[in-house]
Amino acid sequence: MLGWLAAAAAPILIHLWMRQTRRETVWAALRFLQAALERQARRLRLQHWILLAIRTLLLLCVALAAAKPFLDRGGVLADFGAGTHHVLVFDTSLSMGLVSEQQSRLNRAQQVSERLVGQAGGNDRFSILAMSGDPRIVLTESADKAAVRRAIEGLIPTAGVAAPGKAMALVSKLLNLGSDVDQPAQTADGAVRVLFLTDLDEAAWQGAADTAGPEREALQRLAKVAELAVVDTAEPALVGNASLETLRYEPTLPTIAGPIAITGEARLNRASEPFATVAELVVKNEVVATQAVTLRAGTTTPVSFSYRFIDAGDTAVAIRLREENLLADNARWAVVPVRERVRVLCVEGARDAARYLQAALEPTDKTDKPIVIERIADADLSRTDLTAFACVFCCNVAQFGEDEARRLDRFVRQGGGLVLFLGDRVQPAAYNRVLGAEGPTAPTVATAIKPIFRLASTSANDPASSALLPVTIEPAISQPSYRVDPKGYAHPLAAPFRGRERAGLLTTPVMRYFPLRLGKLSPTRDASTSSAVIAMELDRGDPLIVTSDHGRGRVAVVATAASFASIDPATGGPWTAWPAWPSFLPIINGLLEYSSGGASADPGLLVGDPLIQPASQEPNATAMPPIIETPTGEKAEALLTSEGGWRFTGTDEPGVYRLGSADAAALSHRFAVNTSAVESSLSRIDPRSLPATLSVLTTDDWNGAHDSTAAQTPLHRLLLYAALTLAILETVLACQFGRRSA
Amino acid sequence: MPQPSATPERLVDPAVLARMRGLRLRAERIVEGFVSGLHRSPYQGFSNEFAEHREYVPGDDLRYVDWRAFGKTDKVYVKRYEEETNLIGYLVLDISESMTYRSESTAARSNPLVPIGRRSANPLPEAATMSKLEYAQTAAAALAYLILRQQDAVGLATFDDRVRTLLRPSGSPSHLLPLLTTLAEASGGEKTSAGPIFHELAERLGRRGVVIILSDLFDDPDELLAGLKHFRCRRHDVIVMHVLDPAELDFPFEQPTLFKGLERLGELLVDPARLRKAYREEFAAFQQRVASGCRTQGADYVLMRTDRPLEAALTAYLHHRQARLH
Repeated sequence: MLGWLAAAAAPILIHLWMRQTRRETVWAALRFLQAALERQARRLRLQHWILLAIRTLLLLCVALAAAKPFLDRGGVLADFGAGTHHVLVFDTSLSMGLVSEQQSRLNRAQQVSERLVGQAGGNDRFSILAMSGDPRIVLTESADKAAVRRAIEGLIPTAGVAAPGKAMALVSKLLNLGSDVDQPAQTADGAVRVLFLTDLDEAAWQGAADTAGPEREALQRLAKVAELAVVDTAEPALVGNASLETLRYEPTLPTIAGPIAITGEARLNRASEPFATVAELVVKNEVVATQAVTLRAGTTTPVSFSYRFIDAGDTAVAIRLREENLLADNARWAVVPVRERVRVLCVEGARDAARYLQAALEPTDKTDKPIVIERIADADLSRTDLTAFACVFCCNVAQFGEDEARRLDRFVRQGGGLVLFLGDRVQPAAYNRVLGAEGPTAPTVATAIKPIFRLASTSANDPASSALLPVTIEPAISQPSYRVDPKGYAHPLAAPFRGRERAGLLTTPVMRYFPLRLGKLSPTRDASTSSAVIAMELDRGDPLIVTSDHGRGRVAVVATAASFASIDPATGGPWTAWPAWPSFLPIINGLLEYSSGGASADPGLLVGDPLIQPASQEPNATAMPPIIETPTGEKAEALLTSEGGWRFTGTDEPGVYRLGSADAAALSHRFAVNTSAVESSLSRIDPRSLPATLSVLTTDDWNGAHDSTAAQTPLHRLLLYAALTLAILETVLACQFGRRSA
Repeated sequence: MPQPSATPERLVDPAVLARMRGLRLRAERIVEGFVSGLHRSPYQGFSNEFAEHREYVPGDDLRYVDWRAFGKTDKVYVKRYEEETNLIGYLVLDISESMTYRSESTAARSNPLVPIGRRSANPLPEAATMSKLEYAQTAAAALAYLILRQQDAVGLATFDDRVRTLLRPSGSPSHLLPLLTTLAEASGGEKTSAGPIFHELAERLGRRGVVIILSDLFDDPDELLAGLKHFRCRRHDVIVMHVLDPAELDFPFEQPTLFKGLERLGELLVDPARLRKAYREEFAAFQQRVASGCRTQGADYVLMRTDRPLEAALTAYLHHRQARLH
């Protein structure tokens, strides 16, 4: 207790002791002491202010450094030097239109780029590229910031697919177009910066991620002359997107005689919860039916409508989902060639050669039948107008005259279907000669302007160089076959039998047939141009059915007969029991649909695919390019190619395009263009899989610290140095002031 | 308050005065008279040395009629002599309370009365063995003795906030004793009021002479300089002997000290180590202000540190003054 008391008294003792240590003296010059005190106080105040200012500045520097500010190089220093050539490659694909937080991915890209433009120096130049479908140069190396801004603001998301590989090739071409063609002029000070503003769609950037991908090689080449960077404009939050991926109709030869089933497949991507919406059936731009559907994330939901067309003709049909995001992929379009009736011509080389075939095509006796069969003898072929028919079945016709061959050839080239059933009357040598190797090579009269749509990427199929008969028919052999190989059900004719092994296809008995050989055409024919495909084979591997595209139509050759009338001399029995076999009816109908569907088949055009019309071999073919009306109502003229054909690259919108000759009053033909499911999936590539030469930043990164790729200088390091200097200065001054005071 | 302990015997140290013998104090400018025959007056008067005759005019003193010349020429002439006038020194001593300050130090190694040759030179500031008043009293006594030895007249005035004593100048050797007595009896007075005092003395001092002011001048510089100017207006030659304690100049204190002001200036507790520089600057500014003011007024300024030998300061000053007059 006493110890605590002593401890409590310690402060008092210290105070008293301190009083003892104080001196006292009389002093005459007290006025100077007072003046010195005031002077000292003034000096101390000044010193304190100085130290306070330094310490405040020090803290300010540290705080600013923590904020990582950037010095805009667009200031005074920006106008020195050669400047930087910024190549801004904008991904304007469909997925860039995805909106989240009231801002699309392209909007974010535009904001980033406009900020870059604002901070650029006076000598900086900008080139703008749009990377969708066929990449295009929007602006070529301009230092006019207003023009650059206009070009950026003018970019809108298209419905196409991002094509970084093509964009890189275009960038290379752009850089080589500098003042020095051999050496990119902008590489003198390394001031070429290529900035990809994209959402890193997986399908588009997979080539850059693959070590052996062509895009990766292109990136490596570009990296030698330019600084490369990607600004990832994808939103961090999960934003779902519903899309319609496919559209098909059944039957494929629709008529007004009966309803058709129109089916689409809807898909919900990148969503965490099911999405309930309404699917609409649109016919001729009018909603004719609706259906409530609930889409589940990551799964495909079928949407089916039944609709009976009233009028014949090419009819635009779509199934559309009501959804706000990425409107372009909410609908799937098709042009349905609606006929009043499907007229089929059966040419018989022998009596009742088409009897069973007719029965197969007209299985009922109803008057309102969608298919109308006309049976004629082979002698009447030359007098029959083929254009009224969708398909011509030739059954056991012995041979064709040259005129008949030309008429058939033209008929098929214009989109008709030709099915050749062989038989005991067939003279293979005559077939090979008239329809094959020495057959007609080109139409002799001007045909309609209906074009042949073909994607640029598909292999060429010169209609002039292919023969109507896609095979060489060898002499018939009696080789009983009791088993048919469907070739993996890959062919549309065999596909319906997949999973239906008991439908009779596999056990179709064939006793006698003509071996069909592919690729044995005469030297004047190029086998490589033939699109002949074996749909199914017999036991020994001989083809049973071979199909081929020919012009806009298709040809199918069946190695055996279509009736029991053809007698095998070896056995005295029929060539085949197929007409009585369960597989006969579906195969015949399949042959009709497949071969007749050549002209009307959806070419599967996607947004951005160019349309190419090869040069016509017809003597009187017009060289006038067609007029094409886009879904938005704009009209454009296709460009003539140097080969005499034409090319149209304006398929930027999904929907139905109309096409006609420039001198025609009406646009008579339609074709549908749809979006790619690749963009709708919103799947993204892992940025870490991209090469190191391509630095990837998010838009937030860019806004926060984008100077590694943009024209800014980081200040935080400088601020930290300043803070360190101030700390040293403060210490020195404090010591100095202390000494002076002492 | 320290009390002066000076005695007449101590004030006049023969050794000090012996070193000062032979030095001549000469007035500057218009101060008439001479010291030991060196100072010839520009004015003629009645003295032992004849100058000229002039005709008598009514009112002239008949004692100066040259009767011999009257007998020879029947004309009345009056003899005129060159007037031989002695220097009049006015010693003005500040006896205010601030003059009683003497720095306290245990290491008082300096005695101002010890001959220079027997003293070791120490650059460090030393505490004074005398207060400023004692030092000034000694200096005044030495100067009085010197002036009287030169057969000049010397007067004395002491003041604090008013004139305490005033001894009329006299050249009589017997005048030394009352003067030294007055000096010895001067003790610390009240608050300094040098400016008004100087004005008063300028009016009260009679003939022009050399006014020797011994003070620490702890007053408003403007006022005291105005007083000096008044002396100069009365055509006095002014010598300001600024008597300061070494502690006042150097401020050698280290520990926290409570300074109790003299002349009712209050108390101040400060850390001298931290305040030394500012104090020195302030004091130097004051000193500089006074010195430059003296030079401006045509007065001589002499700094007299109480830790320095008195004769060294006097000797140095007189040598300097002699060289300036010649």
